[in-house]
Amino acid sequence: MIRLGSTNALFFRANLALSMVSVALQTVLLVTVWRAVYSGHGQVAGINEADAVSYAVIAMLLWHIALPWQLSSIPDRVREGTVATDLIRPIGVVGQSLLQAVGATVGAIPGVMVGLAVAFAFGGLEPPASTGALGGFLLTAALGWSIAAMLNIAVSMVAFWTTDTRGPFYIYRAVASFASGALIPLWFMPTWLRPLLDALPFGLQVFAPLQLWHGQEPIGRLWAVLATQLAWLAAAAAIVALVSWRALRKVVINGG
Amino acid sequence: MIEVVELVKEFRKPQPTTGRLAGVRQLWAPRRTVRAVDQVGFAVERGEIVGYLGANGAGKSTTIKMLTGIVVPTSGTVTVNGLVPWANRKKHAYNIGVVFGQKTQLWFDLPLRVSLETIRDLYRIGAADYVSRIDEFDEVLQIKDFMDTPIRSLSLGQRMRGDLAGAMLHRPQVLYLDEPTVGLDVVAKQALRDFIAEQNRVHSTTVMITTHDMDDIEQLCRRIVLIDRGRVVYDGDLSSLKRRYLPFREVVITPGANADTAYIGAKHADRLENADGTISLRFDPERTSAAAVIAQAASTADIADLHVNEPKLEDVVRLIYAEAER
Ligand SMILES: Nc1ncnc2c1ncn2[C@@H]1O[C@H](COP(=O)(O)OP(=O)(O)O)[C@@H](O)[C@H]1O
Ligand SMILES: [Mg+2]
Repeated sequence: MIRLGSTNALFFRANLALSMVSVALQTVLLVTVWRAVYSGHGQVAGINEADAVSYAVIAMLLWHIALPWQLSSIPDRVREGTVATDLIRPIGVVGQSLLQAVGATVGAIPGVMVGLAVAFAFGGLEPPASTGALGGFLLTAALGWSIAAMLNIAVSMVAFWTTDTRGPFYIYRAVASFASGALIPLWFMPTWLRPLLDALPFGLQVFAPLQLWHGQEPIGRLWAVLATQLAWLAAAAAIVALVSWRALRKVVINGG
Repeated sequence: MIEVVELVKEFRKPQPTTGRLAGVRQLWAPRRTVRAVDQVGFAVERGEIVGYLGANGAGKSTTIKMLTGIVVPTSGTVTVNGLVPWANRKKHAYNIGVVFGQKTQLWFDLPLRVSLETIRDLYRIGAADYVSRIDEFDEVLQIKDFMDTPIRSLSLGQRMRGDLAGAMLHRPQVLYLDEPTVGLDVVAKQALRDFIAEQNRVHSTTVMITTHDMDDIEQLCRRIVLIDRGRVVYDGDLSSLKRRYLPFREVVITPGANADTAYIGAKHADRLENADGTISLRFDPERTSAAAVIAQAASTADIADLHVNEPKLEDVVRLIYAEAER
């Protein structure tokens, strides 16, 4: 099943090449735009240009794997009625989606590598603040990814209730992208907005790991971040369990 | 192997609305309940092949979806090999294989090989078993010819052969087939039937098949369960079904060139003159025999040719469906 997710991503060579080009292009754009934004300013909200550029690149790459263009395979499978065959597998529908998400992420690794290489070549990559910071980053990024994968599945299950999923998916994408700090680092958000953003799980997916990377969050706070992430992961898993339980009891299968 | 008791499935559909803002008003439209499956009950023994027949919309697919555990019934009970399908979905999965003619269980964009290997991993099939089963399946289904072709590029016949291999790879005890031969050419149909018959013979696989193809039924099914508007209207063997719905047989006679056709006839047989000049003598096999009818007809006039028409399931089903329409 993992292989299925990655093979799906890797099977289309043209697609893969295209996504690498697009990641490279986005990297170049981010580096250029953020440098332009900073031109002439030493620091904005206590953040210097090098950190802001590096943040933008890594955040984009993290987001690229945490919120893929397809939340999960569930909506397509429901629409085609092929979800019927997923229901008669020895692994549940949620399990299959999670494994495919792992696979899709594995399949996205080449793109991430290209992005990092391009950013490095343009001098837009800051090294992590310390080895501890790197470890903390990797750990929190992995947990953040897990939370995102769970929420993606929960939201994609809207497909069991409505045929037209564009609205809910669009709202989810917009809120998640903004609140995660993937578009604009949360450092630059107005202070009145911060409590709201901190109350959402999205910052834990991108902003929290990058805080550690750039040493903006002292490594001593790692345990507090991890605890919050674990709590959110449990909550997200509970949401998925509830939603899937409801969905799979009422499921009707399209087509004879 | 399969026990079904008083199985019911109701769907709630909004009443159709028309006129202004129909789409929005539809949301509050009064809901009407449609009973797709109504008090269905039967039991299937290990190793049986059962034809589950009925007109379009009779509730065949809905029943199969409940037996496979895909859909939860409104009421009633089902056990398959001791498990309640929808309550034990994961465990039940090892016991059953399913083929839907209308949709594939293979992954559309990937080669058949990747789909089969994924199924192998999902069901934890050992590498040696996998290889030997693929070899076995290939003998009848010839799947090795297109192992590296993506599913979307396969012909329907090839896809169905791949689907059947995928459904049987974990060697389930029960195989459900919902209109597996629809749209296939004769060669592919025959390969499918041969494969199903062989799995049943060699591994005592229990098979339940819905189809509109009479050859599928005649070649595979010893037993028929017939449903009409969600209710079982017949459950028994094929020959008694024919006897019940087609109680007569007929001898068709081509008279000789100089024969006086007016005299051709036999005791206990109805005489029908066909448009092509032949004469049908219809008789009830309980009252007389084909031999007696032929002997009497031959004694009344010169006969060029004759043959006996056996009842065809096609006619039986046509009769039953016609009855259902009324
Ligand atoms: N998801 C559904 N929602 C509402 N009605 C349905 C649904 N699925 C099937 N039905 C209705 O149930 C009846 C039986 O359908 P089905 O089991 O597909 O018949 P068959 O397979 O015998 O052609 C039909 O009247 C059909 O319209
Ligand atoms: Mg059907």
